[in-house]
Amino acid sequence: MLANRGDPPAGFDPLRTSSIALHHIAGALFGPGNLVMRCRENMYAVCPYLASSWTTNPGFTEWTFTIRDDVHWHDGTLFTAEDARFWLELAQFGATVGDNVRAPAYFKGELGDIERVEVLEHDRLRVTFSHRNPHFLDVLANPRFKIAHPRHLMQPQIKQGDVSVNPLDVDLVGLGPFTLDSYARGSVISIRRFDRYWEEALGGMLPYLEGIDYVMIPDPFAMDVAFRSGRLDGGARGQAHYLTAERKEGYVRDLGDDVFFAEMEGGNFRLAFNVLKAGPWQDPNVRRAIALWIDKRASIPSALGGFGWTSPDLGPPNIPIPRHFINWPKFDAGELQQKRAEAQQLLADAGYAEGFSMGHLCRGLNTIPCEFLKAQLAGLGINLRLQIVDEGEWNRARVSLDYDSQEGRLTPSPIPEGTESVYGRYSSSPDAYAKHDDARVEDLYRRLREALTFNQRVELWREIDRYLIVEQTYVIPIAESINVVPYRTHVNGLVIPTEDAHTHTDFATVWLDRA
Amino acid sequence: MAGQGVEAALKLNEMYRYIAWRLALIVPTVLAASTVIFLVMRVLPGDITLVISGDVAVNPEVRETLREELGLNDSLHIQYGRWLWSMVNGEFGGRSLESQEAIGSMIGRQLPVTLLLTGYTILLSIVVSVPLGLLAATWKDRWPDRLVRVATLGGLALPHLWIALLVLLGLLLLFRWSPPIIYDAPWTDPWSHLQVMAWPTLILAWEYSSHLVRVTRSSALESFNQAYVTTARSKGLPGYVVVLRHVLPNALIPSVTMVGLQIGMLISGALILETIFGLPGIGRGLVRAAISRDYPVIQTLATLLVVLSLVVNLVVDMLYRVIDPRVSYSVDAGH
Amino acid sequence: MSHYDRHNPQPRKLIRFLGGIWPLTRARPLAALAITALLLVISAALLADVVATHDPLVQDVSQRLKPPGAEHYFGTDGFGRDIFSRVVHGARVSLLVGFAAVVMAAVPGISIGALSAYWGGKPDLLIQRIIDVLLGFPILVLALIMAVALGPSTIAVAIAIALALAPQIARLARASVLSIKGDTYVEAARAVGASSFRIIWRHLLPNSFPPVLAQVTGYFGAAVVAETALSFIGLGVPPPFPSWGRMLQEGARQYFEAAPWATIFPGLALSVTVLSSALLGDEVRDWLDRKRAVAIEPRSRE
Repeated sequence: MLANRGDPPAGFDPLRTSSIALHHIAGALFGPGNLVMRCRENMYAVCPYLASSWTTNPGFTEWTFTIRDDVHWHDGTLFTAEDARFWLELAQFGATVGDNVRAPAYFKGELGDIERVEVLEHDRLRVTFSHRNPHFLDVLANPRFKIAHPRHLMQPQIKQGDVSVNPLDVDLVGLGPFTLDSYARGSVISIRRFDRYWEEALGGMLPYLEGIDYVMIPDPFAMDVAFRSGRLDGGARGQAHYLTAERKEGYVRDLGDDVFFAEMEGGNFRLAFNVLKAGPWQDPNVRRAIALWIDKRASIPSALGGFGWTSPDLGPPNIPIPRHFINWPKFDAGELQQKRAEAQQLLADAGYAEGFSMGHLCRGLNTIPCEFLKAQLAGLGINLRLQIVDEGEWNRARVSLDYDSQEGRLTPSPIPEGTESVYGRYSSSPDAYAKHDDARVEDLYRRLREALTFNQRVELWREIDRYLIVEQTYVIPIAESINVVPYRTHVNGLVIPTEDAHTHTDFATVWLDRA
Repeated sequence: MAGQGVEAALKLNEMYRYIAWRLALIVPTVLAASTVIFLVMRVLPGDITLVISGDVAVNPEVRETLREELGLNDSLHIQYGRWLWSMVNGEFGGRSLESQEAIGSMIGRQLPVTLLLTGYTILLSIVVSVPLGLLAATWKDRWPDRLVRVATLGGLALPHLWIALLVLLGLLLLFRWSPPIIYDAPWTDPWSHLQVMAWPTLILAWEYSSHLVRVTRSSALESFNQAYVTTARSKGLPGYVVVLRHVLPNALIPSVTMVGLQIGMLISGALILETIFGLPGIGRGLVRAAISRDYPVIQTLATLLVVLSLVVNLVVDMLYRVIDPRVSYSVDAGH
Repeated sequence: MSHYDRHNPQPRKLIRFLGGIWPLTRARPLAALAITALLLVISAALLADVVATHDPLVQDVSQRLKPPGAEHYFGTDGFGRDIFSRVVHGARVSLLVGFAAVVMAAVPGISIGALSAYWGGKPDLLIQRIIDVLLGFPILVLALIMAVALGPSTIAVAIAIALALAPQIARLARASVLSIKGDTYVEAARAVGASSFRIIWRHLLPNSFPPVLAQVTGYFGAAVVAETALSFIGLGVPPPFPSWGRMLQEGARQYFEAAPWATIFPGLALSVTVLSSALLGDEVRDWLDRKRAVAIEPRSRE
């Protein structure tokens, strides 16, 4: 089977990067999760993976995991609680040997304030937090957090001072269903079935496939051509490689029923303001006017490649909410003409009938959404000045305070508590998309963290939604995008991640059914 | 006879001195070029540590440690000195900040691809363009000439990107075929190698040979008017003998010069075509590094391309002197 | 060309050069064609506001990817923008980049080249080594580094391309000045005690200028193409300004097959411009060579 992806993965270290290019392959090599994983049948629930069970104390400050005893590293070494501890400590504390310092994982903050990690018996691991952490499992199940760090191979190197040892240095020995066969950089990664893999399914031991070749095809058009001529079984993930409606037509024309299109939620396309910088956008009515003005429906064909649905300001109050499913589907049913009239009125009342000029931070990698917004706001008399920046500058500028507005596509968080890093108060989360210093928001999130029942959480999340998006309009949700990846019809058993492009790329349950 | 021998030896001696001088000049040139690249790269805003972690929030304390780990907090001259030393001791700039791969192994993997692509292009261009140029000159203003000139204009004016996509789409629609997606070295699978390399080579050679054809044609035309050609013709020598013996050597000189002059263009073209055709070469590596601000990689690869261009020019210069013995080897007459 | 002309070359030279365009077009239809095409493109750029049928930036989602027709001569793109109007306005951006790059490259390039040739000796050697360094950079590599450093903006693209072209022009100018440095009229000027500045300004530059100009005309095309290449890497003229390179890249990347018109028309505009500039450069050079040959011959019999 030939799956394929865009760029060569960077360093192969899931502690260092969330690159989708890495995670497309990392699932197969390192497994779909760590101690826990997102369930294959319901991505919003947590299932056991390397830990068979767990308990917590009533205060949610101590989590104890029981580690499976049938898990092996690819080189045959048994996986133990010591290995899990090594990984968690590397992620949380990094490593220091003499003058050499290894930075902790980029997601250190998400894990919560881990105080210490202890091995109780050979198969039991205890994680102690300095604060209450009831949602540790939901966070830990994030498929980006993969164990790719074999203690028995890496610890000796770190002790010798090579603190920045990465998985590639130890030949990608992992725990996943597939093991590395060969890696020709810049062209192909071949992985083969790991015969001692432990997961079982109805069809027998996983994985079913003998192996996968991941071919690097940096150019999306070259990928289209290769797929349509029959050289590929699956398409790549990554912003430029996801299909657009126009490119999809060519696939259907050439391959007809021999191709199907996996769809996964691609995140929320939104406009966010930096309210900490002086300008007309500091007035909530001005922000509200912009929110009412934008033609959300037009954004889908022009800015999102043709796949997605429009976001309303708030979720409908009366749909049944599945447990653990906090990001309910939303549809915007508003009437555009009416909303636009209201927008003009609001802007005029705020004293900006003549419009104004506002800067807009824009990623050079994909300028289409910025172009869309610029043309939209021009209709309201607002001159959106695009500041087009490359990835490095974008990463710097978006956490700084020297921009007026920015847009982005955010992957939804499985728990509402997780949205604080996006919407939270500047003083507590300086990386947030919306820059404000609103104590009310901080207070709402604090109450959310302290909520004890599911219904309380839902109610509080609704309140946060209403306050952030309607009352204050710090952020304007425009549309939910859908990422489309082509697969040949003979590819069966794919677990299509509904919610996170990083999820379930392990291909363990895939089998081929070639006619 | 003896006098001639001495003269030849002197001439040879002079040539060696000239070559040594040119080689020696490459060192400061490359040094200066690398300094330029280094300074330009380091005044950039932005931060590689942010690129490394991808599209996620990174806490500043983690970032600071990462900067320390990567040696980005040292002063500029120390960083430059470290880079320079690594070029001498064979580490070639250390490791990629992004992928952690040793740059030396990166070069070892990418350089052959780019060398082969440019090599094929130069060879094909020379083989094709000299006869075409002579043909066009011989039949000046008649249909072969017109045809050749139109073809060269196409080569000069059509953007690579456009031709490349057209070729890919054409192959797909006509034959339901696409070039192999995995690059194979010629020594592992020559047939697959050929199928991958043929297209970018043809596209690059179209442009490259267009330059060569045009200079070959005009210098051939010039030599047709020269006294010795007229004399040769009046002696009743057959046309092809005149062309081969008198016109060709003269037409060769400017086209060889052109090979050197246009090498920059060729490398630039390779940069784009490597990306489209998925060739794991230096050009694609550089584009990727530029997008992710991988300083050491940009630094080393860009310097390498400068060296490549200098070496090709040196070889061209040598060739030029072999073809045209009138050129002196005096040290100052390098250009 | 008489001896007298060569002593007072400056104003007449220019008039003669410009006045020579008409006989040139009569003698050389190709050149005429190239000039016509270039004039067309240039006037489209200058009169973009009049020629364009739509606002090049206005999006209309109901008009997405419409094929060429009476309403949209060249069809529409993925935002429903009128491609004809974008090509016309794109001429402005692309020509601006081309002109700006060539002028920014030619002014320092020619002066440094001329000075280097005039001084000769050690300064010349030093300048030539510096030019060697810059010449060693493949044009796109230099442009790429500069574009990364300066960030994407129209002026950064022009500067990047200019930096890549300047050393080539300097080398040309030097060769051109060297070839006439020893001419009798320069010697004569020196003999009567003219200042260096005067010699360079009144004699060397005007006489070496036309052949260099002919080359520079050709470089204009190279600059426009370089912008396309930078657009491909994402370092070209930033949106929403429509440059041809950008339009080509967008159309090719998103709907090369579904809406070929989005690539064909900007590509055509680009090709015509590049071709015309290359042709014109050639023809002018040819024509100058002949004039020179005619001018030199009687002198050699003196």
